[in-house]
Amino acid sequence: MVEESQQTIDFLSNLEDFFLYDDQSRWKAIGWTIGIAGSLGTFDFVFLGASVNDTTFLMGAIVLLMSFTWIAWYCSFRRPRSKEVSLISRRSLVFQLATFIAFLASFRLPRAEARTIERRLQVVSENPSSPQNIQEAVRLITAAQAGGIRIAPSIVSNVGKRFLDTAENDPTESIAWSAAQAFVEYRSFINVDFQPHLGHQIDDPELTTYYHNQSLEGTDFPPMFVYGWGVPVAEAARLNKIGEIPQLGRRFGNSFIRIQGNHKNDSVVLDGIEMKNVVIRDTSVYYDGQSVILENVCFVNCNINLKQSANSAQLANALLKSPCVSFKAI
Amino acid sequence: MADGFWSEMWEEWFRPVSKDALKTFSILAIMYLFWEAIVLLRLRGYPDAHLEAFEKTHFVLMWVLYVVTGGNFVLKQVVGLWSKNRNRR
Repeated sequence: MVEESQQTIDFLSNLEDFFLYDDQSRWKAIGWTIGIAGSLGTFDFVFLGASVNDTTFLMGAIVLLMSFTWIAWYCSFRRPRSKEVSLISRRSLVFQLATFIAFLASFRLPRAEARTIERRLQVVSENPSSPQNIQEAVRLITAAQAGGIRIAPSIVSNVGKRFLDTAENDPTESIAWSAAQAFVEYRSFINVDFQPHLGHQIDDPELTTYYHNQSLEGTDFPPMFVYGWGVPVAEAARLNKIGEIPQLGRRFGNSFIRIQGNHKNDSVVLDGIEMKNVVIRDTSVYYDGQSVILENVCFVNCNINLKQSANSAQLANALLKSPCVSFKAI
Repeated sequence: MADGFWSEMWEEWFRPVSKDALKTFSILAIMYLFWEAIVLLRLRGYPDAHLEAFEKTHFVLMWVLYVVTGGNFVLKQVVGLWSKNRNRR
């Protein structure tokens, strides 16, 4: 009985030692856990093509298994060490200092990368009808979006406009159109920094006004949130079919509507719709060039699909210039 | 009173945690550099398939890092509190 108690005391002392004093052993365990779980997770995710859920489950199981095993082994077999908090070793200090300096230096990288892309975009836009230049521009803008690099909006607008003009001059020029679309989408991506003041969120949109939702077949209309109340109908947010008078008999409406997608199975179709004071975020937007009335409609991080047409070109031009557009095509 | 509080904070919390914080920060900084390297490779026209593999590796390592280092901080605090309570008795 006494022996068991002593074993328990030793176990608990070792546990205390492991977490509070023996940094070397604990970081050795952390290093091995990261190494093994990371390697197996990478192998599973990259080479075996497993899903994100399966990989995270696998890694979670490995982390738990290794942690319990390591702690149990340490607490059962290691002899307690002196309970002193040791200072950082010189090697560790040098390594951490070097990492810190490299980290600080790397903060300049995104801006340097952005400048490089801006220069190259300006070069390729000098001859916007060249297929090679169009491909290069699409590659650069796609890479910038994937890497989260912020190119100056004015350059996005100017270069995108050149490809748009090329596509407008020759309606059969579908490559230039796809380039222009890539720039419109990128412009929407950098609009994430744009945070319009929407006001107080209202829980039940039906209380104040009526809205019409229109999405692509096979997809859902994203969740919608409304803000502000008691705004005179003439100034209130709108989302209805053109020609409908949804606020009939009502004196007040909401100040803003936010349509919040998640880039999955959701979409918003603009054709035949009238919108006012609407923010569309993180969703796919489709426009085939039919009638539409947009007044102060903001597109933030949207996947924008415009079918090549004169109306679409005008909308694309407006989208390149500003996060929020007012546009009318009847 | 105030001196006692701050010296206790230094000895029992800040000093033990600062070393872990530095190590954790170093590893996260390396992961940030890894991400910037992927961006640079993409700009230089490196094949998308390879870049996707690097991005997945980055995701996996970040996930493990967050879980393990986060768990380390939490368990260190929990064991610290338990130990303080145990030694009082």
